[in-house]
Amino acid sequence: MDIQNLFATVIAAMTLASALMVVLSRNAIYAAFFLLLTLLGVAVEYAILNAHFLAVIQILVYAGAVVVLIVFVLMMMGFGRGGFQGFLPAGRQIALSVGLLVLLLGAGGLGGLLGEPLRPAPIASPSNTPVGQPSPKVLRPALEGAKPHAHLPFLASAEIRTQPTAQENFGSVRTVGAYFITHNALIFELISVLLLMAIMGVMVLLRGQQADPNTNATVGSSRGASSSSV
Amino acid sequence: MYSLDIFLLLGLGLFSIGLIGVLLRRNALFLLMAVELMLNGANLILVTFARAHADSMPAAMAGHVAVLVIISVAAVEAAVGIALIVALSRTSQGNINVDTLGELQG
Repeated sequence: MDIQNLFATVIAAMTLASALMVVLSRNAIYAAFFLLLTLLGVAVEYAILNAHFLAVIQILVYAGAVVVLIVFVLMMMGFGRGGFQGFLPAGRQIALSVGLLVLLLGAGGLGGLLGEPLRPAPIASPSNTPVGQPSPKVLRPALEGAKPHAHLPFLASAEIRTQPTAQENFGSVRTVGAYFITHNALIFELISVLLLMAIMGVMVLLRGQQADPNTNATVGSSRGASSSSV
Repeated sequence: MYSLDIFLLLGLGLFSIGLIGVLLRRNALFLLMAVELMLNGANLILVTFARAHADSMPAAMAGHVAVLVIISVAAVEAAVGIALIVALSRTSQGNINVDTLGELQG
């Protein structure tokens, strides 16, 4: 096992251990921080798999938004004291057996694929441009022959390539974004609609009781009243 | 060079641990975190297969696009789920145990 595999294995073991701690820890704050560790480990594995853009997005969205949201709600509402809030009848055995069953099924399904070494991402030279990719001249006819960045002197030293190599191409922002916009533009737009609907849905969910003076159950007002009474 | 096994087994392990967490824990916030674990396991396997098929370059990006969609849907799910939990805890005096929530309906 060379040093690269060793690094990936160590990160994977750390990620699995912290994922176990997410499920098993009694304090919800600990679980949230172990969830953060798990997500960071997954981001490192993304980076190892040449998915650099996804690694950054994972850190931004998961570690930056989701975990912060969970920790924020935990600290504000105080749900962390619950810990193990009871089980299903014989719930522990059922949960463990179902989980192990899924693990075995998945291992069986993936079994044929294990042991296959991961080939390095191919280096595309202009002579062997892969099938399905437009040739550089088709891609950018306007730039052929023109001096790149003639109007931007500070960029003149940066060599502009119409066809980057596949090694640096794979998983870059440019490639993922180009594929997303050209092949899945409808999904791209639907995501923005979904985010907008989520914003409005959250506001509608949490608006009602605040306006009703009869219910004193809103956390903000009750906490404010208790602090003012003290 | 890396071998696929590490990443596939890690994704499978994350999914299984998340499933065990969903079945084991009764606290609604723990359920949310366990679901995030399951989504991450599936995402990792998608990225691994996209990397394994890096030879077919433009088409392999579909895996990354799927992961992007899943991440955004997961963020939306976390936001709406936490809003639901907060709204639920207001009406049930801070009880977010998913087993006993239905028992007080009368």
